[in-house]
Amino acid sequence: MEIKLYKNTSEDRQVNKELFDEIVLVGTIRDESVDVLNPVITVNADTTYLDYNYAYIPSFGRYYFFSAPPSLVRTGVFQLFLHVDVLMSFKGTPEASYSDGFLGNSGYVQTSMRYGNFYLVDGNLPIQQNTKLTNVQNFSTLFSKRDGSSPYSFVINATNIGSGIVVGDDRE
Amino acid sequence: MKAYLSLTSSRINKNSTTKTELINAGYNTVEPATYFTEIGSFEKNVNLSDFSTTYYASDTEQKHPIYYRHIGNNEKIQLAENLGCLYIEPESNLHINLNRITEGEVFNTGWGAVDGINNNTSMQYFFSMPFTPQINPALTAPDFFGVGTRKRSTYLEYAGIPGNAQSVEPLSVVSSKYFEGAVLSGIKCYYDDNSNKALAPYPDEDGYIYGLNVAGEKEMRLGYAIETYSALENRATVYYSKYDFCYLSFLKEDGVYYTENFWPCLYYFKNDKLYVRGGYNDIYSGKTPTAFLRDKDGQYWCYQLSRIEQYENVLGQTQTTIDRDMFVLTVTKVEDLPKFINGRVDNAVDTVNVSTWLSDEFEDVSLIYKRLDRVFQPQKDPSYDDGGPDIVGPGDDPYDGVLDNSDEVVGGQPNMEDIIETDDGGYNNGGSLIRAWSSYYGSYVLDQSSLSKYVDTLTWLNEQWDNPLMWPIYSIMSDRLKNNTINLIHLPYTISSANYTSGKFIIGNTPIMASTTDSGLIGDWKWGRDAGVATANKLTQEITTDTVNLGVLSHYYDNFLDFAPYSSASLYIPYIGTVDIPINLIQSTSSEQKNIQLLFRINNATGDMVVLLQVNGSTLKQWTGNCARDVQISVDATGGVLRSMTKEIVGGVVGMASGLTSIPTASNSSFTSKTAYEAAKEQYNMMSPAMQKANPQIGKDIKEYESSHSASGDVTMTTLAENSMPNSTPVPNHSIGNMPVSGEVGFMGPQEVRLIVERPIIWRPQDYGDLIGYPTKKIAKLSSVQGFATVSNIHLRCSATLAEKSEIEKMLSAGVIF
Repeated sequence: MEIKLYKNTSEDRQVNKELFDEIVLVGTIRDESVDVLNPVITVNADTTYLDYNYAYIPSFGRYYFFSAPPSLVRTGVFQLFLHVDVLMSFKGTPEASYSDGFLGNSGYVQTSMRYGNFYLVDGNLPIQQNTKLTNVQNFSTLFSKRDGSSPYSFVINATNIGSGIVVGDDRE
Repeated sequence: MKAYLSLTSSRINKNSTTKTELINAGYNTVEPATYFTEIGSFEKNVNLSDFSTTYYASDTEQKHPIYYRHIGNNEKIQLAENLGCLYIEPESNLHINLNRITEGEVFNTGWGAVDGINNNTSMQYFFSMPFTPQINPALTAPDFFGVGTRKRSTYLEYAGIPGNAQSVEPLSVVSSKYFEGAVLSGIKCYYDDNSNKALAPYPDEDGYIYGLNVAGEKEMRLGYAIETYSALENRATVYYSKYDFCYLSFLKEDGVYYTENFWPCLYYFKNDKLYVRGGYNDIYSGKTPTAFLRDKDGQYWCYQLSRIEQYENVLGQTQTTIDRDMFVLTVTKVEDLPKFINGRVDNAVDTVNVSTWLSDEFEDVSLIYKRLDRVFQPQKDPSYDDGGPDIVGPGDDPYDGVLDNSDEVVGGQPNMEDIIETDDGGYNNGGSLIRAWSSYYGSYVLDQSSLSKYVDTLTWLNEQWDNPLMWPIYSIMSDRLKNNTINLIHLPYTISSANYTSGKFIIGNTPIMASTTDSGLIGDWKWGRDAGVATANKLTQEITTDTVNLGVLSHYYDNFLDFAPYSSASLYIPYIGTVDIPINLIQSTSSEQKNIQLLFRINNATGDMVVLLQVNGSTLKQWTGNCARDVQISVDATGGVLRSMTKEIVGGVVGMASGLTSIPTASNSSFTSKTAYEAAKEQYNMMSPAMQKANPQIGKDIKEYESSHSASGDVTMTTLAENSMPNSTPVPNHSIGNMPVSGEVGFMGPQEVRLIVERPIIWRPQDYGDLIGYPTKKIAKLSSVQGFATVSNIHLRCSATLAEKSEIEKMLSAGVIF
């Protein structure tokens, strides 16, 4: 079987890892009870590959993180402690339009850095309660005059106001 | 054709300690290409040695140098750094013109103009730029610059910052996703009192008036202009308009500012049509904006808009000319100046090279806010622009074209389609009072003269004690006058003359005397004749209306914080108080401008009023109140109170004083002599029983006199006078002069409407979107998602084991980077 070792500088949570400096190790698995999700691989080699942190095992069909630094068993023999990278391993392939991985599935995107609807309430956004922006604008009305004086009117409401008999009118 | 970049300033001084960085330059293009196709990148410094110098021909003191430089074809003005800076003193004026000169024509992109014939830069066209569209600049440049004042300095302002489509506010930069627009400027002007015109800026000379400065504290006599540029998204055409409103007579008697020029427009591009709007529904009610536009075919159009039905015109479809009288600016208190403009500096500022001065501008945020809080819309909190994705509204859903949007989610902002149109046409414009005018009931709007005559008549009737023959009649008339007077109210506004007509002043069938001159004849009471009856204004229209345009309230953050409960808006309305208004419904959106106004409807006879909050003409809220103050008149006029009242009114003094006011009551001993008593009794006895019943006070006075004199016999005038002193009953009240009134609560408050908008302050961590993410809440195929996202409720279909699927779900829920 083959084990491909890589240097990986991507975040663990990044689906597509950027891998470089590939090294291919070829050998045989002697321990039949290997844990595919967390395999421990014993390697005979002259170097410990301490600057490598990522692996791909084609026969397992999975990518792996180095869950711990390689451990030197004895001279020329060391162990790789691996943990499966589920994102990289099962994301699917563009050739199959990701139908062969979880990227082909739909999900409920709760938050995102690029597609936010900013009119949705964001409970994570810190809001200062101690400060408010207050915008006060004044608008003139018919009650106010620009020159500072006060407009006014007097109205007298009355009855018998201008028709019928007028007292004192000697024409009556 | 020649082209110049010219700089003019009233006080350019290399030795000044105040530094203003000139940050713009431009270059000409190959002729005969249309004008200027590009204004070049910003340069921070300019060396005046690059410019030739000239002076105004009439400026013998050479205080106002003009620096100009010819721009050759394809020559870009690259003003290198470290060559020195242009120093402009505070309060100075700088005018930048990028001019294209052809014989007989003048084009300019900034202030001032160039005399194309003499090739001498002159400011003589400063306010008399030809308004013929054909010679207004129409640029093909996507970007351009202007001049503005900021922080007491003069800045060049760059146009072309993407953002919302807005008309312009001085000192702000706005733009649109459709346009790249720009703005200017609050440049002070020289105001010539003699010619009543604003002229070129000579701030040191007499007659100089301050315009609206950056602090907004110079309120009167505007020397102010706004220039507006808009460029279509395709950058094929730039539209230009220029408006100034310091032109002439600023303040009329009614407190209304007038201007001969026009108010800036808002251009916006929608549905493949270019719109221009402004005016009526902005706070400058009735103000007509005029726009000179050049359409895609090169055709010029002149739009003049003033009324709501002409509020919005589509470029190229209509052309409207309006009578100039309709252009009157009705509301222009300086403090209220252009607040319909969005002063936000929106996202993507760093896409143009103006970040330097923008950052500088916001260094002193508190200062900016202090200024803007008083005058303008608040500026956007610069801390919000810390990178991260653009703030986009529902119209810019980032999932468009990316995801299966069958579950399309729209933002929370309502649009006007969500607001049920209300029928506001069914107002009752006249009540029973008016309809009954000719028969029984009515109201007079009293001016100084008619109010004086009313008081004089009442007083005169009560002073005729020494007329033994006539006093009973006078008493009857006095009683009628008083008994038929329902009330006298003071209203805190001027009732328009259109609401009343002149007529006889008669109350209780008792004419108010035109003159109270006593001829000494019995026939005096013939003042009931036509010639003797005073005239007064009869109220014919009960309802006075007034519209207060509150302009447009723009979004501030463009996110959920713009809405309740995070943001709130309230109004202080005179005689109503402070009321909350639904900020969610009144805020304009990126696609819908909402013009807010208050409609006052006031009953002139009672002071009852209803105030309607309207958005784009639809009523959302209403409040009721009363603005009348009752004036105490149910007193005997002998106390002189009403005379004093009229004196105050005639003198034009309507003040207010709180405290205790003595209100005289009717004298309980009305006869000044025994003779008067005997004459009154004789007359009273001659009355019919019905007449006696109608005048009980006379009988009462007679009885009181008889009672008080039965033991002591005759009394002296002095005693009577003492006895007839009015009872003084102190009542808590306020007064207009000595006139007791009530209903003062509303009068004591501000008489202006106040719009108060409260916003939260956010504290957004750096890289918020990268590390935390913005709420998305959408179903998406994960292969279409990019960047950091958290995902839940995924139905995994892949070859992973149960443990691996569980881990995948756990990681997606915690957030992964796609």
